Amino acid sequence: MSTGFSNELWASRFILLDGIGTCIFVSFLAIVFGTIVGIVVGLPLTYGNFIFRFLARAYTDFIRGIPVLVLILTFYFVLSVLGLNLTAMQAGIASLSIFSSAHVAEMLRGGLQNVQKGQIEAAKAVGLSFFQTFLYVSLPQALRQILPTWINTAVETTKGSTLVSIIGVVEITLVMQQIIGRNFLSMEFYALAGLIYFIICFSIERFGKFIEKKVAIK
Amino acid sequence: MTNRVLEISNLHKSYGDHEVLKGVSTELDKGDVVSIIGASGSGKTTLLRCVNLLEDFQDGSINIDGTQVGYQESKGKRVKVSNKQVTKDRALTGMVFQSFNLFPHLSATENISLALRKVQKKSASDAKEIAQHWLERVGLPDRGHSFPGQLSGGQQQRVAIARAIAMNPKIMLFDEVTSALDPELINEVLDVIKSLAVEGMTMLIVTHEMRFAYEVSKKVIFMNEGVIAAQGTPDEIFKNPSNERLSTFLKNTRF
Repeated sequence: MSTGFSNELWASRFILLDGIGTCIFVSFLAIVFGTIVGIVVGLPLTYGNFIFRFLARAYTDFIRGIPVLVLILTFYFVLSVLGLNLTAMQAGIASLSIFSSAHVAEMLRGGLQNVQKGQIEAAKAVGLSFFQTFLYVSLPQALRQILPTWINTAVETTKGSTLVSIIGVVEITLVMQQIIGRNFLSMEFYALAGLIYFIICFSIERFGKFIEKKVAIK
Repeated sequence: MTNRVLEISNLHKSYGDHEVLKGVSTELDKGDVVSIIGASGSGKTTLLRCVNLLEDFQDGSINIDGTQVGYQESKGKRVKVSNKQVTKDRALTGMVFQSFNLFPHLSATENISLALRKVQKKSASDAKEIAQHWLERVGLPDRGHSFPGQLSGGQQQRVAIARAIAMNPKIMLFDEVTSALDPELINEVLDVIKSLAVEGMTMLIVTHEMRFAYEVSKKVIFMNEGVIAAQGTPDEIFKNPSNERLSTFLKNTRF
């Protein structure tokens, strides 16, 4: 490691940590909001009548067909034209949440519909209502099944958070660009960015595997 | 005071153009054990599923313990009752399925106590106690903590029986409960059912186990192409079959 790089790294330590913090903050909120909205959309997608199902289907198909970058730019620039002024941070979190919600909704539908018919009939036969069947029988089985894909979405959302740099949210990527602009050590600092993203995403994945094992059906 | 627990009259059920039940009528008094035999596709499972309201039916009525279930008359028309009422009506029956259908994410005790707590609103400790009682009753006193995946097929089916009967139903419905089991596990399940019969549980049993049907039943019903083709005591059905289709059927089955 050249002394130039270590000196530059030391000099940039605070903005770098800020950038990492912002990346984690944005990704975390996007995953949480995305999951909540995803469940709200996924239920009518699975159980709704024609109208609700159609609306939920339109939402998921539409969002999943749009690149995340376009979503981010739309939330930041287009909504302000319409009078809704979001800060770059808000627009970034909102667009990533919407992005992940469509994926969560779709995987929840898949998980719920994959619960065996016999399970639902057994629940009915012991007298559980529709809602109780959902809560105690279908959902616990569906959640276990979708956990790996959900973790995958969390990783994709985290990686997608790099794109909010384009509207000026100072996360890891933008911090790196600022540092490189000062010292021109592009190879070293982009490699560092890659390493940091890898560590964050790998940790999420390991955490997911840990939970998966914990809740596995014996 | 009548002892009639189940009364099925003129039951008709179709899937589209295909009529599966073509006017089935029968009744069970308290403590009766009735077996239904017949070839695959004769409508016996469908009949059981109608009693449990897992299937709609187009005509006829089912009364359990004096209550008409699933449908009611309104302004001279036959209308389906609300989902809430269906759930209530269903509580009158306990159903055991061919494929066990235990909840895989819950332990044996939790499988039994779930509905006790959520439907009958019993406290967690009461529900657990009842679950343990029935686990003992089906010969699995120390398997309460086991998950379905850790139990043999016969053990799973016994837990499923405990789960159904713990709800204290008026009548138990058994749908080919040994068909998915390895031969050496069949008897442990049949023994549990026999012991329930001895205790006076009212039961309607769809089965392919002819010897079991012969031994346990008060009445045996032979179904063929959606109708009851013959019915009578086990001796009448198995020893002196009067019906030609029944004779053919019995010749082709293991006793």
